[in-house]
Formats: sequence, structure tokens, C-alpha cells
Amino acid sequence: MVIIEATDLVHSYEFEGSQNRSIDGVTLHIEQGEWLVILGRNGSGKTTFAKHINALLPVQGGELNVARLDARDPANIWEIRRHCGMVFQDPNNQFVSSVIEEDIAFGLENYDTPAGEIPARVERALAIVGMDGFEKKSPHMLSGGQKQRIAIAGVLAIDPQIILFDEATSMLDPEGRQEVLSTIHKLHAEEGKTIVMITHLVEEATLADRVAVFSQGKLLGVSSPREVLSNLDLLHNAGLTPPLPIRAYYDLQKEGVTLPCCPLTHQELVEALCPSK
Amino acid sequence: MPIEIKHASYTYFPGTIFESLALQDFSLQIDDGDYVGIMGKTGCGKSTLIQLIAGLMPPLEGQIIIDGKDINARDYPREELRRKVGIVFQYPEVQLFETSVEKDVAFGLRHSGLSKTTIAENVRWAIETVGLDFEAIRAESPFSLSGGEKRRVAIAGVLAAKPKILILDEPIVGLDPRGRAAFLELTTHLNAAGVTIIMVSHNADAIAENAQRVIVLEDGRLLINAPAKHAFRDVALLQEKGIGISPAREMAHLLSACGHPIPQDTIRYQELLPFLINIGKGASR
Ligand SMILES: Nc1ncnc2c1ncn2[C@@H]1O[C@H](COP(=O)(O)OP(=O)(O)OP(=O)(O)O)[C@@H](O)[C@H]1O
Ligand SMILES: Nc1ncnc2c1ncn2[C@@H]1O[C@H](COP(=O)(O)OP(=O)(O)O)[C@@H](O)[C@H]1O
Ligand SMILES: [Mg+2]
Ligand SMILES: [Mg+2]
Repeated sequence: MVIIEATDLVHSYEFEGSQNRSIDGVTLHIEQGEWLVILGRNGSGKTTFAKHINALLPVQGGELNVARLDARDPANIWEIRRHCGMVFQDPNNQFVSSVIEEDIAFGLENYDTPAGEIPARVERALAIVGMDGFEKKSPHMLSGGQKQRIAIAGVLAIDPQIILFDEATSMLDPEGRQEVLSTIHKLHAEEGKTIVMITHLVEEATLADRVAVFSQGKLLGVSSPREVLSNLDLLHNAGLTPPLPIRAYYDLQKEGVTLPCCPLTHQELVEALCPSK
Repeated sequence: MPIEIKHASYTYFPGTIFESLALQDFSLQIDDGDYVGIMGKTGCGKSTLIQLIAGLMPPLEGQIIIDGKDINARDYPREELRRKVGIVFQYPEVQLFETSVEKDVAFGLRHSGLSKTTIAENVRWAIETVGLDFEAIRAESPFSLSGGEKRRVAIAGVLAAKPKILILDEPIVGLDPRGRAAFLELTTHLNAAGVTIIMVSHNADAIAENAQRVIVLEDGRLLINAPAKHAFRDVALLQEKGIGISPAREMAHLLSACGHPIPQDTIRYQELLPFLINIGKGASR
């Protein structure tokens, strides 16, 4: 079932002389429970697109339905945001309170959650991201990866079906990044959430069900990670570079070594080169 | 003009419940024209270290010596330091505030004593050097740019002063792959022209492909200080410590484990490729 349905979506930050379109006719349907990664160069419209899904920007042209709600109707804005939470890149600027449980509760209050339900929701959200026991701590005392998991818990408490991640791992160290990616994996696999994840790390796209490539406000292509990442023309046109295994696959081909299939991960490249193992 | 850090220590909010030890008895020398990559987990002291080098705060103990002079001595000329050392902070775009990109990039030069024409030339050079179209972007408001575009403008603001020591705290976060490559190439060009580069990054690929020396910090102390080729040797140690490993080194490690020994100093893609070709040719035979 389609949960995000953008048809011919258009957006310009300059409302009058709209020659500069940040989103220029994007048609993209995202399935419920899907994990979609969006790649594209700086300024290609990724964040602008995500902000539409979250009803942070009004629809100027085209159509957009989120969780079967028409995003063009201003009356639906809060309902859409309840279905769709967003986690941003900076681990430091996502908190309003210096006590974690208060911070999460604050978000719930904004959505008129009955006071009696709040503690249980906070507890459950923290448990899902593996941060139970941190209720009384300050988010400022945590590592970057932990802060991002608290930010995710803040979104989860509202129980959205869709979670948008805008470069949410980009400022983290390798461990923090892994923590957040595993959390996203869990939300997708165990909680059935629809995930839309924007990243500049092309190798992170291997985790997704599908990868959408943006360029100059347009959708250049959307397909499986293997198809997108092994399509050098597509990557080139979008200003992207392939991860090591794919780069190696093509460089080996030039040397007359053709691997049985194009490897996506280091492990797959090892298996292709050491077939006996 | 080497940088010498001698037994430097730094603690935030000493003597309070917020007390946090960021650097402990830390010593390090960075030679002129070096390209140093600094790695380490969140909170290990990287940002503190480079703020000390840039003279933004004095160490509580120890000394920072640049060109033989203690930069925190009372009679040290601070303007000299500001001219020599450029620092691009983590998330530099939060400091953009002018009404146009051109004014923002020129801001740091306002007390430089340079002529108007030199300033204008430097500003154009810096904006073009970070890969932006000067004419198209000069009059834009910095606030109307995408995340990655803001980052480039912020970096241009530091480059415009043409510093001899360029310190970069996580400069490639938020840049797209081509922007990342272009920026790193810029750092190697500046380095080839004699600029000392000190780059903090979690991106082991960026460090391995560009740095000559790698420094790894752990809890405010030096864990590794070695030529880049040697810094990634001990994969198990790096994994245990949560430090990134360059993709080429990781691949070499995996292949070595399945019977294709590849030297431990293979850290860059171009060094790895001949081994991959050899193994591939052997496998298809
Ligand atoms: N608040 C704004 N006002 C005016 N123009 C904007 C604004 N935000 C973004 N833009 C412009 O819209 C275009 C798309 O921006 P967007 O932020 O969606 O890009 P992005 O793909 O998320 O880029 P990045 O990878 O750098 O985050 C860019 O040309 C940008 O300059
Ligand atoms: N402005 C600050 N106030 C208080 N503590 C700080 C501040 N900046 C850093 N720290 C603390 O100092 C230690 C080192 O931090 P930092 O130098 O920022 O590390 P890194 O840049 O390697 O992530 C950490 O324990 C951190 O919490
Ligand atoms: Mg963006
Ligand atoms: Mg830091």
C-alpha cells in the first residue's frame, strides 16, 4: 500500500518569479513499511522534498498524499505531522529540555497526548532505541550517537508511521553511526515503520529497499540499491561516486576480470574474489 | 614553522560538578607543510586540541609553541596568530550572518589591512575555490542556501585570509560525494603549496587518501601518532577502540584473512587495486 504519494510535486522558495525550482516535478510513490534512501548532490532538493512529506512546507504545485491525507489541505497539517516525524543532522540542537524524559514528554504534549499516557509512551520509546534507564539524564551528557537515539525516541513517542532522517548519522563517529543505523534497521524490521533516509554516504544506501536519486529538483531514478549503485551513468549524472566494491567491480572489468555479479558490500566483494570460501 | 604542543592539559569547568577533562599531559609536534589527520571517538578531545592550537583558549597546563614562540605568552602578537592560522569550525555555517555571500566571505578580512581590490580578489578566489559560481551566488543571502552550500561559503570565509596553517574540524560532513572529493583535492593543493593542514574527521577514507600523518586520540591522550601508512595497521585495535578504518585497508584485511596476503600499509584505493586485479585474475583462471 502506498503511504507517501507525490505526483508532479513542484516547489520554489521564491514564490513570485519561480524560475528557480527546488523541486521540479517529482513523482514518487513510497510503500508502507518501505526503507527508502534519497541520494543527490547539495542543493538537489532532498531536504525540501522531505519537508513536504512532513508538512513543514506547503504544496505549491502537484499533489501530495501522506498516510492518505491530502497535504494540500491546511486542515491536515497536524494530522500529517503526527503520522510523520523527522530527525535532523545535528545531534546537539534537537532538545528543548535538559532532562530526557521531559524532553520527550514535551513533544507529546504538543500533540495533545493525555497526561496519563505520557510516562508509558516515553518508556516504550526509550526502550525501542535501547536507551531505557536514561530517563532522568541530560541529553547534553551523551555521546552523539546516543543523542540521536534520544531524538529518534522523541519522534517515536508520537508513534508516527513514517520517520524521515535528514543526514541523521553524518556528524557521528563510526560507533554512533552504527548505533543509529541499527536503530533504524530495527524500526523498519520490527516496528514496521516507513523510513525515508537522506544521506551523502553512498554506502549507507545499500541498507535500503529502494534508492531514489535527486538532481536539480528532479527524480533521476529510483530502484533497488544494486541497480542504482551499479549504474555508473546515473551516479555520474547525479554527482555521486560508487562505493569501493562497485568501483572495484568496474576497474576489474577493464582489466578483463569479470566477477559473477556486481558486489554491493565488502563482504560480497571478498566472496566474489575468494569463491572457495 | 613547526607547531609544538608541550604537556598541554585542558579541563572544562574545573572544580565544578560539570568538570570534564578534555586533554591530559598532551605532547605533539606538527612539522611545517605536514598534512595531519586527527581521528577519535566523540568527546576524546579533538576539538579541544585544535582550539588550543588556534590559540582560541590557553591550556590550563603546558604550552603551545608556534615558530618557537609561546602563543599564550603575554607579549605574543595575537594578530600574527590570526594571520597564520585559519580554523574552520565544526558546523561553521551557524556563523554565517551577513546579508550576502560575498559580504560574509569578506567579513574576516575587514581588519586585515589589505587593500579593497586585494580583498575583492581573495573573496572571489575563495568562493570559486570551494566550487561555487561566484557571479551566481555573490549576492545571495547565505540563509537561502542548502546545507552543503552554506558549508562551502563558511569554508571560503576562512580561505580568503590565505592562512599558512589551516585547521579543519569535520569539514566534509554534509558535503556531497563530489563536493567532498573537490574539497579534499583543494586541501592537497593547498598542502602542496606549503600550507600545513590539520584535519579532524571520522571519515577514515578521507584521512587515508589525503593525510601524511595520522593522530588518534583516546580520552584526551595520544593513542596513535604515525605516518598514515602505518596508522591503520592494527585493524583489531582500531575496531576495538571504535576508530574508522579506510575501506581499502578493510578490504585488504578481509582478503588477507582468506588467504590473499596484502601488505598492512595498503590504505588507499589505488594501492589496493593491483592486488584485487591479481587475485581476480587468479580466481578466473
Ligand atoms: N530557506 C530557503 N530559502 C530559499 N532557497 C532555499 C531555502 N532552502 C533551500 N533553498 C534552495 O533550494 C534548493 C534545494 O535545497 P535543499 O535544502 O532541498 O537541498 P538538499 O538536497 O537537501 O541539499 P544538501 O545536500 O546540501 O542538504 C537549493 O538550491 C537551495 O539553495
Ligand atoms: N564547551 C564545553 N563545555 C564543557 N565541556 C566540554 C566543552 N567542549 C567539550 N567538552 C568536553 O570535553 C571533552 C572533549 O571534547 P571535544 O574536544 O569536543 O571532543 P571531540 O571534538 O573529540 O568530540 C568531552 O568530554 C566533552 O564533553
Ligand atoms: Mg539537505
Ligand atoms: Mg569535536
